[in-house]
Amino acid sequence: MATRQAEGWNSRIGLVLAVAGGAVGLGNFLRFPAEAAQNGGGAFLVPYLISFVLMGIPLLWVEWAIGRHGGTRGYHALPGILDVLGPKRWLKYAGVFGLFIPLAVAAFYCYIESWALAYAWHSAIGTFESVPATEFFPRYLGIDGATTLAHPGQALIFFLITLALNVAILSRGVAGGIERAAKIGLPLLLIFGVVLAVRGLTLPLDAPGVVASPLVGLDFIWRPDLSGLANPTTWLAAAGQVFFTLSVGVGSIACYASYVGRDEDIALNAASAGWMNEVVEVVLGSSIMIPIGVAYLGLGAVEQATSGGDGFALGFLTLPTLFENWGAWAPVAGLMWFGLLFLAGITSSLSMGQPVMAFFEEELDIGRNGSSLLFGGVTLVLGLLCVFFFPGGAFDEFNFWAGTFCLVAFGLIEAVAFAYVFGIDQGWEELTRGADIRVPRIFRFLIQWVTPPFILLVFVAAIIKPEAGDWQAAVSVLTSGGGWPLAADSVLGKVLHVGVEGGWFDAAGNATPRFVQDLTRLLLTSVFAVLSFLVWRSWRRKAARGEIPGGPRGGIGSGVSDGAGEGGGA
Amino acid sequence: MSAGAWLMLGITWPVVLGISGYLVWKVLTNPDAPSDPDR
Repeated sequence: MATRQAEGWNSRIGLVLAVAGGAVGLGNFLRFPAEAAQNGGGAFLVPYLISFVLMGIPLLWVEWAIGRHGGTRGYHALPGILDVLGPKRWLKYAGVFGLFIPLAVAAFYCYIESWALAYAWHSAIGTFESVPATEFFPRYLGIDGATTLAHPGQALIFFLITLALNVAILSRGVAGGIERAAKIGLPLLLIFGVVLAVRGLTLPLDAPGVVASPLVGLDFIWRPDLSGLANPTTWLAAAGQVFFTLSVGVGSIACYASYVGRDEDIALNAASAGWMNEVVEVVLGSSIMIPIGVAYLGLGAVEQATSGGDGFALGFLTLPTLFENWGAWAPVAGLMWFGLLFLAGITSSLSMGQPVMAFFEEELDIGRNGSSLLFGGVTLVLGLLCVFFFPGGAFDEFNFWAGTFCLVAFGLIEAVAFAYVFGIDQGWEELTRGADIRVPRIFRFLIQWVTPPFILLVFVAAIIKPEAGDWQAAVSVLTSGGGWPLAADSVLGKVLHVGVEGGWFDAAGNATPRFVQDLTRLLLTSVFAVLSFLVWRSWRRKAARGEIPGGPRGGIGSGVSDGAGEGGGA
Repeated sequence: MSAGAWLMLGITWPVVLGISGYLVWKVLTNPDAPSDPDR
């Protein structure tokens, strides 16, 4: 219900920490250093920071502005928040992305989060003293390498614990749950990060097991390869990382901002949360995993471990064993590293829960406890697919479609809706009202004319990304009549199953990865369809009840037409 | 570390830390609760 009494944040710093905590995630420590190292080193930072300014910061401001605007009209879930932006029927259905993405991402994200929790536990009890992490990992996940189905034991238990923890915190509400968790979690994460970075970067060459200076690892990430700047793949990777790290295009930022008062600042809050995330990513993210990895394994092994552009192998398979070189400090180091990853994960997964719960509360009229349980239940069902079909690639499908592709698609929709449906004049007024900083006027131009085409470019490039990311070679192949060589990890490549051979079952009748991929896609599509139906039904009921979606409450309004949405004025 | 790596790190870290520090300082010196009192 649009008029349902909403909650609010207890303190400004709590809000900023919650949003920053939502942005600071596993990607800051595992994905960023690997992406940077693989895409031009220090030169990666040039497109990265340009993408941050042209796309990241504008999108942050867009999400905060549309969120606060929706909140002042009684909406905290994205269908309603987008619906009150203007008199277009499609807006509320576009808002389904803001339910689908958090729900689907929470499912696979909680699973990784549970690994971090399990690894922290096993580090503390000394498991890695006797069992190498490379042996522990497949055993923990219950995979034998032969089938698409896992037989998890511990992994399932830790997943359930993690999910229960998320539900328990979410059920305590915005201020009592999410804000309190962020106030504890983010400072603790920063302390763990600084301790590990200082220890990692000062590892002496004569320490047991050290084969190279950790500064060689830092050099690996920061040495600029300027040729990368001319490669569209570097730009695509940089823009993708900005999207991924800021959690824009998810819906959680708009949801958090919807609990901010009409005349309170959003410009400074958004910028401070965004830049706080950059400190964690650029400074701490580059100072821990790769320098420590290089110090103990040498540069070649680390280059190989990060060649796929993510640091999961290094973070989960290698680091626990390397910490054993730290003697009595090994359990503490493991606890800090995986504790850090867990805290980064849980502050992010909590931000996934609130938009979905807000929808359950507003549109399905379910109470907070019921909403948190329903969110937990749906996340559990989706997450079990990731848990049991991990070897078949269900996890990767969730990550690609919900955690990568949909983020960019929804970010594009938000940018266009803000600049062209809500209108840049009204949007700029919304963004700057009550601002505690002067927002440079250039951003008005950027939000209207640069950010949407920039995201569109990233979106199209992701759809048709060529094999090996080699655009020049792809154009040559195309002009010579050989067709466009799609990359297997491009959107079209995924849709067309490029590089995946065979059918759903092998000769022995066992399910193949292709079966798991298609099953996962069917499930994800079904979830999207169900959420769209719920939105349609909810707005139909509003129309039948004669409610005016988006009508101002308590004298607070922003001048947007009350006739927004198909139920408007009915 | 190569000179190029030091240069990139030497530019990026102070910029990121400086801007972030300034913005966080602004937040800490304006600690008003952001909740709408009408809610």
